[in-house]
Amino acid sequence: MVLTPHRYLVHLLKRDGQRLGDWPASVDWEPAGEWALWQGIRRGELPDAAVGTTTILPIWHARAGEPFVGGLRAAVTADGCRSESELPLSYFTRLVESLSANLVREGVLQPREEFHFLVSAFPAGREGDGIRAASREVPAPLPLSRGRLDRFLRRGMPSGPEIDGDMAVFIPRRILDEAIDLVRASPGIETGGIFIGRLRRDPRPEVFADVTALIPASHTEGSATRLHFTAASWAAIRDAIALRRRDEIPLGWVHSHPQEICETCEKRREGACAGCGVYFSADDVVLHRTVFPRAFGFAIVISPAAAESGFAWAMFGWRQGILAERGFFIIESRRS
Amino acid sequence: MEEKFDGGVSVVVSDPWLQKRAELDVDPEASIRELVEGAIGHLSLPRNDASGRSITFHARLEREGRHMHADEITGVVLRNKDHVILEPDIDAGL
Repeated sequence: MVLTPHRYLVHLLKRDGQRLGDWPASVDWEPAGEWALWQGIRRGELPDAAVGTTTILPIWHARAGEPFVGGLRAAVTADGCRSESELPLSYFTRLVESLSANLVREGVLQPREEFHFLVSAFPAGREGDGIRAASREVPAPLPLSRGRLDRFLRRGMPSGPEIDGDMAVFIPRRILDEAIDLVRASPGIETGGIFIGRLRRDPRPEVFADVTALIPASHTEGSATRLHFTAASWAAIRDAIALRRRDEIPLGWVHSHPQEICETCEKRREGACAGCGVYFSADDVVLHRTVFPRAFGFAIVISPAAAESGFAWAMFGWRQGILAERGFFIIESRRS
Repeated sequence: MEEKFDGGVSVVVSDPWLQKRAELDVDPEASIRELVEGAIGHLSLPRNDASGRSITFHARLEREGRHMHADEITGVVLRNKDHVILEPDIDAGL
Protein backbone atom coordinates (compact mmCIF):
# COMPACT_ATOMS: atom_id res chain seq x y z
CA MET A 1 0.00 0.00 0.00
CA VAL A 2 1.27 3.44 -0.90
CA LEU A 3 0.25 6.54 1.05
CA THR A 4 0.78 10.01 -0.37
CA PRO A 5 0.04 12.59 2.32
CA HIS A 6 0.83 15.40 -0.13
CA ARG A 7 -0.67 16.45 -3.42
CA TYR A 8 1.78 17.49 -6.10
CA LEU A 9 1.65 20.16 -8.78
CA VAL A 10 3.80 20.25 -11.89
CA HIS A 11 4.80 23.66 -13.24
CA LEU A 12 6.11 23.94 -16.81
CA LEU A 13 8.17 26.95 -17.82
CA LYS A 14 9.78 28.09 -21.04
CA ARG A 15 13.53 28.49 -21.09
CA ASP A 16 13.18 32.24 -20.45
CA GLY A 17 11.09 31.55 -17.35
CA GLN A 18 7.71 32.25 -18.95
CA ARG A 19 5.12 30.14 -17.18
CA LEU A 20 3.32 27.63 -19.38
CA GLY A 21 0.93 26.37 -16.72
CA ASP A 22 0.41 24.32 -13.58
CA TRP A 23 -1.13 20.85 -13.46
CA PRO A 24 -2.05 18.43 -10.67
CA ALA A 25 0.47 15.61 -10.77
CA SER A 26 -1.53 12.48 -11.34
CA VAL A 27 1.16 9.81 -11.23
CA ASP A 28 1.24 6.08 -10.56
CA TRP A 29 2.88 5.77 -7.13
CA GLU A 30 2.82 1.98 -7.01
CA PRO A 31 6.22 1.48 -8.72
CA ALA A 32 7.77 3.88 -6.19
CA GLY A 33 6.30 1.84 -3.36
CA GLU A 34 7.45 -1.44 -4.89
CA TRP A 35 10.94 -0.03 -5.45
CA ALA A 36 11.28 1.16 -1.87
CA LEU A 37 10.00 -2.17 -0.55
CA TRP A 38 12.44 -4.10 -2.74
CA GLN A 39 15.38 -1.90 -1.74
CA GLY A 40 14.59 -2.61 1.91
CA ILE A 41 14.49 -6.36 1.20
CA ARG A 42 17.76 -6.22 -0.77
CA ARG A 43 19.51 -4.40 2.07
CA GLY A 44 18.15 -6.86 4.63
CA GLU A 45 16.25 -4.07 6.42
CA LEU A 46 12.86 -5.68 5.74
CA PRO A 47 11.72 -9.32 5.88
CA ASP A 48 11.96 -11.19 2.56
CA ALA A 49 8.20 -11.56 2.17
CA ALA A 50 7.42 -8.14 3.59
CA VAL A 51 4.08 -6.50 2.91
CA GLY A 52 4.62 -2.92 3.82
CA THR A 53 3.05 0.47 3.78
CA THR A 54 5.09 2.97 1.82
CA THR A 55 4.68 6.65 2.55
CA ILE A 56 5.89 9.03 -0.14
CA LEU A 57 7.13 12.36 1.20
CA PRO A 58 8.66 15.35 -0.56
CA ILE A 59 12.28 16.31 -0.09
CA TRP A 60 12.23 20.08 -0.33
CA HIS A 61 14.29 21.73 -3.05
CA ALA A 62 17.74 22.65 -1.71
CA ARG A 63 17.67 26.22 -3.07
CA ALA A 64 14.01 27.07 -3.68
CA GLY A 65 12.81 25.45 -0.45
CA GLU A 66 9.24 24.48 0.45
CA PRO A 67 6.86 24.05 -1.38
CA PHE A 68 9.21 23.17 -4.25
CA VAL A 69 10.34 19.58 -4.45
CA GLY A 70 13.88 18.39 -5.11
CA GLY A 71 13.19 14.67 -4.78
CA LEU A 72 11.05 12.17 -2.93
CA ARG A 73 11.55 10.00 0.12
CA ALA A 74 9.81 6.63 0.21
CA ALA A 75 9.55 5.28 3.76
CA VAL A 76 8.44 1.66 4.14
CA THR A 77 7.23 0.15 7.38
CA ALA A 78 6.70 -3.61 7.46
CA ASP A 79 6.48 -6.08 10.33
CA GLY A 80 7.93 -3.54 12.75
CA CYS A 81 10.88 -2.78 10.46
CA ARG A 82 11.54 0.45 8.59
CA SER A 83 13.46 1.27 5.44
CA GLU A 84 13.88 4.49 3.48
CA SER A 85 14.85 5.11 -0.12
CA GLU A 86 15.09 8.28 -2.16
CA LEU A 87 13.53 8.85 -5.56
CA PRO A 88 14.62 11.47 -8.09
CA LEU A 89 12.46 14.27 -9.42
CA SER A 90 12.59 12.45 -12.74
CA TYR A 91 9.80 10.27 -11.31
CA PHE A 92 7.54 12.95 -12.83
CA THR A 93 9.22 12.83 -16.25
CA ARG A 94 6.60 10.70 -18.00
CA LEU A 95 3.86 13.06 -16.84
CA VAL A 96 5.91 16.08 -17.93
CA GLU A 97 6.48 14.52 -21.36
CA SER A 98 2.76 13.93 -21.75
CA LEU A 99 1.92 17.50 -20.69
CA SER A 100 4.53 19.01 -23.02
CA ALA A 101 3.27 16.88 -25.93
CA ASN A 102 -0.20 18.35 -25.37
CA LEU A 103 1.29 21.86 -25.38
CA VAL A 104 3.02 21.12 -28.69
CA ARG A 105 -0.27 19.89 -30.17
CA GLU A 106 -1.94 23.11 -28.95
CA GLY A 107 0.85 25.21 -30.50
CA VAL A 108 1.89 26.66 -27.13
CA LEU A 109 5.29 24.95 -27.40
CA GLN A 110 7.19 24.41 -30.61
CA PRO A 111 8.43 20.91 -31.41
CA ARG A 112 11.85 20.36 -29.75
CA GLU A 113 11.56 23.73 -27.93
CA GLU A 114 13.37 23.60 -24.62
CA PHE A 115 11.45 23.97 -21.39
CA HIS A 116 11.90 22.97 -17.79
CA PHE A 117 9.66 21.93 -14.97
CA LEU A 118 9.25 22.35 -11.24
CA VAL A 119 7.23 20.29 -8.82
CA SER A 120 5.60 21.64 -5.68
CA ALA A 121 3.87 19.77 -2.87
CA PHE A 122 1.14 20.66 -0.40
CA PRO A 123 -0.49 18.70 2.42
CA ALA A 124 -3.37 16.73 0.97
CA GLY A 125 -6.90 16.92 2.28
CA ARG A 126 -8.57 13.81 3.54
CA GLU A 127 -9.69 12.68 0.10
CA GLY A 128 -6.13 12.51 -1.14
CA ASP A 129 -4.82 10.99 2.00
CA GLY A 130 -4.42 7.40 0.89
CA ILE A 131 -7.48 6.07 2.67
CA ARG A 132 -7.06 2.44 3.70
CA ALA A 133 -9.49 0.12 2.02
CA ALA A 134 -11.26 -2.65 3.86
CA SER A 135 -9.14 -5.27 2.16
CA ARG A 136 -5.95 -6.74 3.50
CA GLU A 137 -2.75 -7.13 1.56
CA VAL A 138 -1.56 -10.72 1.90
CA PRO A 139 2.16 -11.53 2.08
CA ALA A 140 3.25 -13.27 -1.09
CA PRO A 141 5.96 -15.86 -0.47
CA LEU A 142 9.18 -14.69 -2.08
CA PRO A 143 11.44 -17.72 -2.08
CA LEU A 144 15.07 -16.64 -1.77
CA SER A 145 17.70 -19.31 -2.35
CA ARG A 146 21.19 -18.90 -0.99
CA GLY A 147 23.86 -17.75 -3.39
CA ARG A 148 27.27 -16.12 -3.51
CA LEU A 149 27.19 -13.04 -5.69
CA ASP A 150 30.98 -12.94 -6.06
CA ARG A 151 30.98 -16.46 -7.56
CA PHE A 152 28.37 -15.47 -10.14
CA LEU A 153 30.21 -12.22 -10.91
CA ARG A 154 33.42 -14.16 -11.60
CA ARG A 155 31.61 -16.14 -14.30
CA GLY A 156 29.47 -13.30 -15.67
CA MET A 157 30.19 -11.17 -18.70
CA PRO A 158 28.54 -7.72 -18.53
CA SER A 159 26.01 -6.89 -21.26
CA GLY A 160 24.57 -3.40 -21.68
CA PRO A 161 25.06 -0.44 -19.35
CA GLU A 162 26.72 -0.79 -15.94
CA ILE A 163 24.21 -2.09 -13.44
CA ASP A 164 24.91 0.91 -11.20
CA GLY A 165 22.96 -0.11 -8.12
CA ASP A 166 20.49 -2.33 -9.96
CA MET A 167 19.97 -5.87 -8.76
CA ALA A 168 22.37 -8.13 -10.68
CA VAL A 169 20.68 -10.46 -13.18
CA PHE A 170 22.55 -13.51 -14.51
CA ILE A 171 21.42 -15.24 -17.71
CA PRO A 172 23.26 -18.29 -19.09
CA ARG A 173 24.39 -17.82 -22.71
CA ARG A 174 22.40 -20.89 -23.80
CA ILE A 175 19.16 -19.34 -22.50
CA LEU A 176 19.87 -16.07 -24.28
CA ASP A 177 20.56 -18.12 -27.41
CA GLU A 178 17.20 -19.85 -26.94
CA ALA A 179 15.53 -16.44 -26.88
CA ILE A 180 17.32 -15.44 -30.08
CA ASP A 181 16.33 -18.75 -31.70
CA LEU A 182 12.73 -17.98 -30.76
CA VAL A 183 12.97 -14.64 -32.57
CA ARG A 184 14.78 -16.19 -35.53
CA ALA A 185 12.01 -18.76 -35.90
CA SER A 186 9.37 -16.01 -36.32
CA PRO A 187 10.76 -13.63 -38.92
CA GLY A 188 8.71 -10.45 -39.17
CA ILE A 189 6.38 -11.53 -36.37
CA GLU A 190 6.63 -10.49 -32.74
CA THR A 191 7.24 -13.37 -30.41
CA GLY A 192 8.25 -13.78 -26.80
CA GLY A 193 8.63 -15.80 -23.66
CA ILE A 194 9.04 -15.69 -19.92
CA PHE A 195 12.34 -15.98 -18.05
CA ILE A 196 12.05 -18.05 -14.90
CA GLY A 197 14.59 -18.72 -12.20
CA ARG A 198 15.47 -17.94 -8.62
CA LEU A 199 16.15 -14.91 -6.52
CA ARG A 200 19.25 -15.57 -4.47
CA ARG A 201 20.25 -14.01 -1.15
CA ASP A 202 23.93 -13.14 -0.77
CA PRO A 203 25.12 -12.67 2.81
CA ARG A 204 26.50 -9.12 2.23
CA PRO A 205 23.32 -8.58 2.22
CA GLU A 206 22.20 -8.40 -1.39
CA VAL A 207 19.75 -10.20 -3.65
CA PHE A 208 20.38 -11.20 -7.25
CA ALA A 209 18.47 -13.04 -9.99
CA ASP A 210 19.62 -16.34 -11.43
CA VAL A 211 17.74 -17.17 -14.64
CA THR A 212 17.37 -20.92 -15.12
CA ALA A 213 15.06 -21.27 -18.14
CA LEU A 214 13.10 -19.53 -20.85
CA ILE A 215 9.53 -20.67 -21.41
CA PRO A 216 8.24 -19.66 -24.85
CA ALA A 217 4.92 -17.87 -24.54
CA SER A 218 1.97 -19.91 -25.80
CA HIS A 219 -1.62 -18.91 -26.48
CA THR A 220 -0.33 -15.65 -27.95
CA GLU A 221 -1.18 -13.90 -31.20
CA GLY A 222 1.77 -12.27 -32.94
CA SER A 223 1.85 -9.80 -35.79
CA ALA A 224 4.49 -7.49 -37.21
CA THR A 225 3.65 -4.81 -34.64
CA ARG A 226 1.99 -6.60 -31.74
CA LEU A 227 2.35 -9.57 -29.45
CA HIS A 228 -0.98 -10.30 -27.81
CA PHE A 229 -0.83 -12.30 -24.58
CA THR A 230 -4.10 -13.95 -23.61
CA ALA A 231 -5.23 -15.02 -20.17
CA ALA A 232 -4.28 -18.58 -21.10
CA SER A 233 -0.67 -17.48 -21.74
CA TRP A 234 -0.08 -16.81 -18.03
CA ALA A 235 -1.74 -20.02 -16.86
CA ALA A 236 0.44 -22.03 -19.27
CA ILE A 237 3.58 -20.49 -17.79
CA ARG A 238 2.44 -21.32 -14.25
CA ASP A 239 1.72 -24.90 -15.36
CA ALA A 240 5.19 -25.20 -16.92
CA ILE A 241 6.84 -23.96 -13.74
CA ALA A 242 4.81 -26.40 -11.65
CA LEU A 243 5.79 -29.29 -13.93
CA ARG A 244 9.49 -28.48 -13.52
CA ARG A 245 9.18 -28.63 -9.69
CA ARG A 246 12.35 -26.59 -9.14
CA ASP A 247 11.01 -23.76 -6.97
CA GLU A 248 11.39 -21.29 -9.82
CA ILE A 249 9.44 -18.09 -10.21
CA PRO A 250 8.79 -15.78 -13.19
CA LEU A 251 11.53 -13.15 -13.19
CA GLY A 252 11.07 -11.36 -16.48
CA TRP A 253 10.01 -11.59 -20.09
CA VAL A 254 11.41 -11.23 -23.57
CA HIS A 255 9.84 -10.16 -26.83
CA SER A 256 10.99 -9.13 -30.26
CA HIS A 257 10.69 -6.02 -32.37
CA PRO A 258 10.89 -7.43 -35.89
CA GLN A 259 13.30 -6.18 -38.50
CA GLU A 260 10.75 -5.24 -41.13
CA ILE A 261 9.24 -2.59 -38.91
CA CYS A 262 12.60 -1.09 -38.04
CA GLU A 263 13.54 -0.83 -41.68
CA THR A 264 10.58 1.46 -42.29
CA CYS A 265 10.89 3.34 -39.00
CA GLU A 266 11.18 7.12 -39.40
CA LYS A 267 13.72 7.39 -36.59
CA ARG A 268 15.97 4.94 -38.36
CA ARG A 269 15.61 6.74 -41.70
CA GLU A 270 16.47 10.03 -40.02
CA GLY A 271 19.38 8.46 -38.19
CA ALA A 272 17.83 9.59 -34.91
CA CYS A 273 17.54 6.17 -33.35
CA ALA A 274 20.50 5.14 -31.24
CA GLY A 275 19.37 1.58 -30.67
CA CYS A 276 16.85 0.77 -33.34
CA GLY A 277 14.47 -1.97 -32.38
CA VAL A 278 15.68 -2.39 -28.83
CA TYR A 279 13.52 0.11 -27.02
CA PHE A 280 10.56 -0.18 -24.66
CA SER A 281 7.34 1.03 -26.26
CA ALA A 282 4.41 2.57 -24.40
CA ASP A 283 2.55 -0.76 -24.73
CA ASP A 284 5.59 -2.61 -23.37
CA VAL A 285 5.62 -0.31 -20.34
CA VAL A 286 1.96 -1.02 -19.57
CA LEU A 287 2.43 -4.77 -20.00
CA HIS A 288 5.45 -4.75 -17.70
CA ARG A 289 3.64 -2.61 -15.12
CA THR A 290 0.66 -5.01 -15.25
CA VAL A 291 2.39 -8.39 -15.25
CA PHE A 292 5.77 -7.64 -13.63
CA PRO A 293 4.95 -4.99 -11.03
CA ARG A 294 7.44 -6.25 -8.46
CA ALA A 295 10.64 -4.23 -8.58
CA PHE A 296 12.83 -7.22 -9.50
CA GLY A 297 10.98 -7.89 -12.78
CA PHE A 298 12.97 -7.26 -15.97
CA ALA A 299 12.37 -7.38 -19.70
CA ILE A 300 14.57 -8.04 -22.71
CA VAL A 301 13.81 -6.71 -26.17
CA ILE A 302 15.52 -8.47 -29.09
CA SER A 303 15.77 -6.99 -32.55
CA PRO A 304 17.36 -8.43 -35.65
CA ALA A 305 17.56 -4.91 -37.06
CA ALA A 306 20.12 -3.09 -34.99
CA ALA A 307 23.11 -5.26 -35.62
CA GLU A 308 24.69 -5.63 -39.03
CA SER A 309 25.03 -9.28 -38.30
CA GLY A 310 23.22 -11.25 -35.66
CA PHE A 311 20.78 -9.84 -33.16
CA ALA A 312 20.78 -6.92 -30.76
CA TRP A 313 19.19 -6.90 -27.34
CA ALA A 314 18.66 -4.65 -24.37
CA MET A 315 17.34 -5.23 -20.87
CA PHE A 316 14.89 -2.91 -19.14
CA GLY A 317 13.88 -2.91 -15.50
CA TRP A 318 12.60 -0.87 -12.58
CA ARG A 319 15.04 1.69 -11.22
CA GLN A 320 13.76 4.08 -8.54
CA GLY A 321 10.24 3.30 -9.72
CA ILE A 322 11.01 4.18 -13.34
CA LEU A 323 11.47 1.71 -16.19
CA ALA A 324 14.94 2.19 -17.64
CA GLU A 325 17.48 0.35 -19.74
CA ARG A 326 19.83 -1.59 -17.49
CA GLY A 327 22.67 -4.05 -17.70
CA PHE A 328 22.91 -7.73 -16.86
CA PHE A 329 25.45 -10.55 -16.89
CA ILE A 330 25.75 -13.40 -19.36
CA ILE A 331 27.05 -16.65 -17.89
CA GLU A 332 29.14 -18.45 -20.47
CA SER A 333 28.70 -22.19 -20.68
CA ARG A 334 31.37 -24.21 -18.94
CA ARG A 335 33.53 -26.29 -21.22
CA SER A 336 33.12 -30.00 -20.70
CA MET B 1 -18.56 -3.67 -4.79
CA GLU B 2 -19.00 -3.22 -1.03
CA GLU B 3 -15.80 -3.70 0.90
CA LYS B 4 -17.47 -5.34 3.90
CA PHE B 5 -20.65 -7.34 3.88
CA ASP B 6 -22.16 -9.47 6.61
CA GLY B 7 -22.41 -13.00 5.37
CA GLY B 8 -20.07 -12.31 2.45
CA VAL B 9 -17.21 -14.43 1.26
CA SER B 10 -13.56 -13.75 1.83
CA VAL B 11 -11.34 -14.49 -1.16
CA VAL B 12 -7.69 -14.01 -2.01
CA VAL B 13 -7.05 -12.26 -5.32
CA SER B 14 -3.64 -12.19 -6.98
CA ASP B 15 -1.70 -11.25 -10.07
CA PRO B 16 -0.79 -14.04 -12.57
CA TRP B 17 2.45 -14.85 -10.74
CA LEU B 18 0.92 -14.79 -7.24
CA GLN B 19 3.50 -12.15 -6.33
CA LYS B 20 0.91 -9.58 -5.24
CA ARG B 21 -2.05 -10.72 -3.21
CA ALA B 22 -4.94 -9.18 -1.36
CA GLU B 23 -7.73 -10.63 0.72
CA LEU B 24 -11.13 -9.17 -0.12
CA ASP B 25 -14.46 -9.44 1.61
CA VAL B 26 -16.95 -9.75 -1.21
CA ASP B 27 -20.62 -8.85 -1.34
CA PRO B 28 -22.29 -12.17 -2.27
CA GLU B 29 -24.66 -10.32 -4.59
CA ALA B 30 -21.83 -8.73 -6.56
CA SER B 31 -20.97 -10.01 -10.01
CA ILE B 32 -17.57 -11.33 -10.98
CA ARG B 33 -17.23 -8.19 -13.12
CA GLU B 34 -17.56 -6.11 -9.94
CA LEU B 35 -15.14 -8.36 -8.10
CA VAL B 36 -12.55 -7.88 -10.85
CA GLU B 37 -13.06 -4.11 -10.85
CA GLY B 38 -12.46 -4.00 -7.11
CA ALA B 39 -9.52 -6.39 -7.22
CA ILE B 40 -7.72 -4.34 -9.88
CA GLY B 41 -7.77 -1.40 -7.49
CA HIS B 42 -6.69 -3.39 -4.46
CA LEU B 43 -3.77 -4.93 -6.36
CA SER B 44 -2.90 -1.49 -7.81
CA LEU B 45 -2.96 -2.81 -11.37
CA PRO B 46 -3.36 -0.51 -14.37
CA ARG B 47 -6.87 -0.26 -15.79
CA ASN B 48 -5.95 1.07 -19.23
CA ASP B 49 -3.42 0.37 -21.94
CA ALA B 50 -1.15 2.96 -23.54
CA SER B 51 -3.97 4.09 -25.83
CA GLY B 52 -6.38 4.53 -22.95
CA ARG B 53 -8.40 1.42 -23.74
CA SER B 54 -9.52 -0.73 -20.82
CA ILE B 55 -7.37 -3.77 -20.16
CA THR B 56 -9.46 -6.94 -19.99
CA PHE B 57 -8.74 -9.05 -16.92
CA HIS B 58 -10.12 -12.57 -16.64
CA ALA B 59 -10.82 -14.04 -13.21
CA ARG B 60 -9.55 -17.59 -12.87
CA LEU B 61 -11.02 -19.61 -10.03
CA GLU B 62 -8.17 -21.88 -8.99
CA ARG B 63 -10.41 -24.39 -7.21
CA GLU B 64 -12.24 -25.15 -10.43
CA GLY B 65 -9.43 -24.36 -12.87
CA ARG B 66 -11.60 -22.12 -15.04
CA HIS B 67 -12.20 -18.52 -15.92
CA MET B 68 -15.41 -17.25 -14.40
CA HIS B 69 -17.94 -15.42 -16.52
CA ALA B 70 -18.30 -11.71 -15.81
CA ASP B 71 -22.03 -12.09 -15.07
CA GLU B 72 -21.67 -14.92 -12.57
CA ILE B 73 -22.60 -14.02 -8.99
CA THR B 74 -19.87 -14.20 -6.38
CA GLY B 75 -22.14 -15.65 -3.69
CA VAL B 76 -22.99 -18.53 -6.03
CA VAL B 77 -19.58 -19.45 -7.41
CA LEU B 78 -17.14 -18.45 -4.67
CA ARG B 79 -16.41 -20.09 -1.35
CA ASN B 80 -14.52 -18.67 1.59
CA LYS B 81 -10.74 -18.65 1.07
CA ASP B 82 -11.04 -19.22 -2.67
CA HIS B 83 -8.11 -18.00 -4.74
CA VAL B 84 -8.93 -15.86 -7.76
CA ILE B 85 -6.14 -15.03 -10.21
CA LEU B 86 -6.48 -11.97 -12.43
CA GLU B 87 -5.11 -12.73 -15.89
CA PRO B 88 -4.96 -9.90 -18.43
CA ASP B 89 -5.40 -9.96 -22.18
CA ILE B 90 -2.66 -7.51 -23.05
CA ASP B 91 -0.40 -6.42 -25.89
CA ALA B 92 3.28 -5.76 -26.21
CA GLY B 93 4.01 -3.79 -29.30
CA LEU B 94 6.02 -1.32 -31.25
